[in-house]
Amino acid sequence: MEITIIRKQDDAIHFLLEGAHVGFANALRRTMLTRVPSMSIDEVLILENTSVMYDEILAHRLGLVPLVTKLDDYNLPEECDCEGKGCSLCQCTLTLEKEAGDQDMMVYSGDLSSQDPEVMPATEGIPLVKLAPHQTLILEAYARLGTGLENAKFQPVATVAYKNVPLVSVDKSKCNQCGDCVEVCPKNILVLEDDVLSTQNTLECSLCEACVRVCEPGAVTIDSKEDSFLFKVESTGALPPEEIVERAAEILKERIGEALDFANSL
Amino acid sequence: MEPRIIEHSTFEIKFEIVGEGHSFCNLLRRTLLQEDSVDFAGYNIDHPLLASPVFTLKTERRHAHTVLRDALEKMLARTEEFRKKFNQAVSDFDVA
Ligand code: SF4
Ligand code: SF4
Ligand SMILES: [Zn+2]
Repeated sequence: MEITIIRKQDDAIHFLLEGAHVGFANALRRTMLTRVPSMSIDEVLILENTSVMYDEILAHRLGLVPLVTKLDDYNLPEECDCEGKGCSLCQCTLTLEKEAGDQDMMVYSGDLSSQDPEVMPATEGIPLVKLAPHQTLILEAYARLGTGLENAKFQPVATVAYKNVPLVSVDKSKCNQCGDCVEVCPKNILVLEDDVLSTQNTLECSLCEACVRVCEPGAVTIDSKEDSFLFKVESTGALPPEEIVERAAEILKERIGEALDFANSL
Repeated sequence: MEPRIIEHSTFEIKFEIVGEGHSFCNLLRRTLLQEDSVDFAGYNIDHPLLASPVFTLKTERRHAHTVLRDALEKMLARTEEFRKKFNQAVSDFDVA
């Protein structure tokens, strides 16, 4: 098994996983989606809402705001000593108080203030509701940890996807340098220079096979490497992308360990 | 995860894995199918929300539970290998 990081940003990581089978890649992907916990608003107490938006729609919108999560600071409610009733070890309170003056006003996720300075909306610019002049909004929201298995709002990832590594090959003896494939390729993988056709950035290839269809002599072939995967993990901002992958591997290990205990008891 | 045995004989095990879905079962099935002594490995989920997967393993020559144990150990080792190499790759990338 070989792993190479291709790109790493604050909210996304691209890596190459070689020498693994598709079952493993998929288990990892699904674990990131459904088992890695993150914080999200789950209960809202509306003290005053004179906006045109119904309380439940507003609560739903609040639930979808990604919150920066410190996984080690909070317990999952079902694992907490309070037995899920809600305490400072498994819950974080956020408040929002806004009143529009003589002008209408947009309320943003950044207007939420949190009891725990670490647990804040991952982005400040998410519009929640627009207030007309003199409308008021006062609410208290309770955030907790949860997993995507329960509700998609708890997913720490916006996207987690993989594709097989593309293999683009050109049979030089068949190629007549017509350049049709170069023109049709949306990713600029194929280049014709000094009457020689070559390939570049083949990892970017989308496997669309437009080049194969357009090539009359049948010189281009597109294949994919069955045991190599190009992963793309994009975080919602709740957790750093590399932490999502690491936690997923830990969670997967834990589950396999539990199954192994069971198998050993047979 | 709470596995529960349904049938167990020398060459066959059938068990229910409460609290799991495709991610784990498919990985287990694929790993088992790489073993020579596995005759059949598969699972069924009666209902995506209401039922837990029921896994069936049939083997030849070797005891079903030893084959299962070997496969799980392999999965555990591979996941640990992934975790280590990923951490290494991330710190190598940060330095470079
Ligand atoms: S398969 Fe599509 S993306 Fe890949 S080289 Fe051919 S045209 Fe370009
Ligand atoms: S379309 Fe085929 S023949 Fe034309 S340049 Fe591309 S590979 Fe060569
Ligand atoms: Zn608690």
